[in-house]
This record gives sequence, structure tokens and C-alpha cells, in this order.
Amino acid sequence: MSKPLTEIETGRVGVIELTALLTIYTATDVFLSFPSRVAYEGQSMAWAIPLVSGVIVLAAFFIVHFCFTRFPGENILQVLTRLFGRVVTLPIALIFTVFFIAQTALVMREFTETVVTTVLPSTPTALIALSFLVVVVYYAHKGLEGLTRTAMIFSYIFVIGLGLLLLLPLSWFDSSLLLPLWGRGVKATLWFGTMNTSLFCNVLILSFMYPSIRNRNQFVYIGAVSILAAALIFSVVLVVFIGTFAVAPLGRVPFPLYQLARVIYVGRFIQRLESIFVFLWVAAAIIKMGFGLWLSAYLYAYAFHMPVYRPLLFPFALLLYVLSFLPPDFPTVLALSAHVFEPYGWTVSVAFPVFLALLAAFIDYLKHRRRPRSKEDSTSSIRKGTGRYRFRRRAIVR
Amino acid sequence: MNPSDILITLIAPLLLIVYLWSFIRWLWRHEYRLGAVGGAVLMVVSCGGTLTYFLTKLLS
Repeated sequence: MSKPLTEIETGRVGVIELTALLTIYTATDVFLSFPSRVAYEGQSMAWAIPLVSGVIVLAAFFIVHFCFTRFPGENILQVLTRLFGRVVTLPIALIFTVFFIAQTALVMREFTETVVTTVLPSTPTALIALSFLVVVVYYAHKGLEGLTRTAMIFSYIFVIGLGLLLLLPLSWFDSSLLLPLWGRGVKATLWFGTMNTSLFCNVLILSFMYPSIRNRNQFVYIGAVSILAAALIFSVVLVVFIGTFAVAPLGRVPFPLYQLARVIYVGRFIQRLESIFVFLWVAAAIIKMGFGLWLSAYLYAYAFHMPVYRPLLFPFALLLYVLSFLPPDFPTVLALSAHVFEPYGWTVSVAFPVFLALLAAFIDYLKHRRRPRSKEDSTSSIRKGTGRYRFRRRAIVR
Repeated sequence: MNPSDILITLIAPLLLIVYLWSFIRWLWRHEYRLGAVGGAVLMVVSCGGTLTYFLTKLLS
């Protein structure tokens, strides 16, 4: 009989790399129908909705971070496995897997439709999806280190490209279109801001990523910067978008950023630059889908205690293709996004991780209150590497 | 149904079964029993999903 292998090895990632990956993962939604939907909801104050969502998600992140100070070096699934056993962790990891695979499938369908509608109208949709999938599987196969490093390199292109895309159409910008300033009112903005927290999966992702971070002291930095940067990108895009097109027709524009690229007219020789920007959002889409696929495979492998996750990428890629093409047409995809994912997605992406972190911290607190630990116990635990000191010992040994 | 749909719905599941079966056997050999069960579940879900897709396309 062969010797059993160790647990899944994800490698270690840098702070800047992970921040870039999380920011791009969240902010890629600006290339999809999200700005159009939010502009319709918030009217002229739609730019404040992502900021409200960002603040709420940031608060949730700080709660999770506060709870995780009790469990140094462990992610949420490892903590739950230690406290409740694998019977509890398995369904929880499966819920997260289903969430990420469904989200990635929706994103894949939206991007495929974007490419078909805007750039390659004669190409079969399935062919575009397949070519997307080949790159996405290769990208996810490179692992977390490959994903984060690519995201960091791309982040410069992303920021410069997006900046140009927002600056070049400014000749059409009319600040009076941003009035009335309060839009549908502060209450409505707060409500939609709360609903749109489903866009931010940072809390959920960071609760898995914690042991993989090279410098764990920077955990708060990664969370705060990625959430605030994504919220700011959403907000600035919405300001430019509303100031350029006005609120009234926004709900009917399926790809707002593409429309923004189309109206660019700097002179006779610099106009209609959408073909250049298509590369930008296809690259961003690949990063988002690649990371989504990686997360799904990793969580599934963790749920069933598999030592590797890479062999799962191919079955999950097939599942991704099938799920993305189950909705019959593009309006159905948009409706799914607006009526299912947006109103209920936050329960999995924000509320559930916060609940789990609070529960784990509470159980851990109760356990330690019942059995006060003497100084000798702690020292022997660190030396033997047992209990909550096993990861700390590993760090000391390193 | 276009050729890529046929490729996905008929050939891909067959390849997937062969591929996942070898992965399940590998897991079982290394005493990852729960992992092997997970592999089997994924095989059923993937093939079931593909079949659903095939039927949806066929009936539409």
C-alpha cells in the first residue's frame, strides 16, 4: 500500500500580488452589466452605492479579522474542521464551491455574449466559450502563485487602461447629469448598497487565503486595500458613465463600458477605440474566471480531503461550460444576475463567513473559559505543537 | 446542435469518465477514501450536467 500524501499545498503568495488579484477579481464586474443595473437602481446617486457596499464589506472583514486573531495560521475551514469535525466542514465547503462555480459560470456567459455581440458577431458562441475555457484552465492550473503574479503584472495595464477609458470620453461628460445629487434618496441608496455587497467576495476569499499569505501581518492591508480600491473603481466608473450617458437610458445598456469606449472621439485619427479595450476586459475576465475555477476546485478538494486539486480543474471546466449555457438566452442571464445573485448572493459571500467566524470564535472562547490554561500547559503545547499552538510552532521552527 | 455542442455533450463526458476513474483509483490506492467518494460524486454531477445540457439543447 502506498504512503498517504500530505494536505493540499497552495504555496505562499505576496501581499501586493494577492491585493492585485482580489481587486481585479472584484472590479472586473465593471465590464459587465453591473454599472447599468446599479445606475438604474440608484439613478443619479448610483455612484454612492458601491461606496456603501464597500463600507459594509469592510466592516464585515474587520469582524472576521478580529475573530481570526484567535486562530493564528488557520483558515476558516481548518478552524471549523478542528472545532466541529469534517462532517460540518464538508457541506460548508460544498456550499462555497457551488457559489463560486455558479458565479463563474454567469461571468463566463456574460463575457462570451459581450464578445459575440461586440467584436465577433459571426463566430459561434460555443467556440468563443471553448477558447475562453482553454486559457482559463491553463491559468488555474498554474496555481495560486501563478494566479496572483499574473494579476499583479496585469494590474498596471488594468489601471492605465481603465484610466484612459474614463479620461478619453470626457469631452462628452456633462456634470449637470449627475443632478439631482440624492437620486432616489439616501434610504434607497443605502438599501441598494446593502444588496450589492454580493459583488464583494473579498471577505469570503480572504478567510480561505489566510494561511497562504507570506506576511500575515499584512492581512488587514490586503483586505482593506482590495475592498476600497474595488469600491472606488466602481464609483468612478459610475460617475463617468452617468455624466456621459445620463440616467434615463442606462438601464437598457447591456455593456456600458463598451459603449463608453465607442463614444471616444479625440480627433479624426483617435476615435472608436473599443477594439483596443476589448483586450483589456477579456484579460480581466480570464483572471476572474481562472481564479473562480481555482477556488471551486480547491474548495471541493478540501471538502473531500483530497491531497491535490489540479485534476479537478478539467471536470469543473466542463461543468462551467454546461452551467453557463443552460440559460437559453442573454436576457435570462441578466435576469438571473439581477433577481437571484444580487439580492441573495451576499448571504454566502458576506453574511455566512462572518457568522462562521463569530461562531468559531465563540466556541473557542467557551472552550478556553471552561479549561483555563496554565503557563506550563501553554509552553508544552508550543513545544509539542499541539492544540491551537501547532501552527505557531511551525512558524517558530521555520 | 452545432459541432462544438456535439463535442462537448458526447465526447467530453466519455473522456471525463476515463480521466476521473483513473483519478479515483489513484485516490483509493493512497487511502483517500473520502476523496475517492468526492471524485465519484463529481463524475456523476459532471456527466449529469452534460446530459441535462444535451437534453435542453435537443428539446429547444
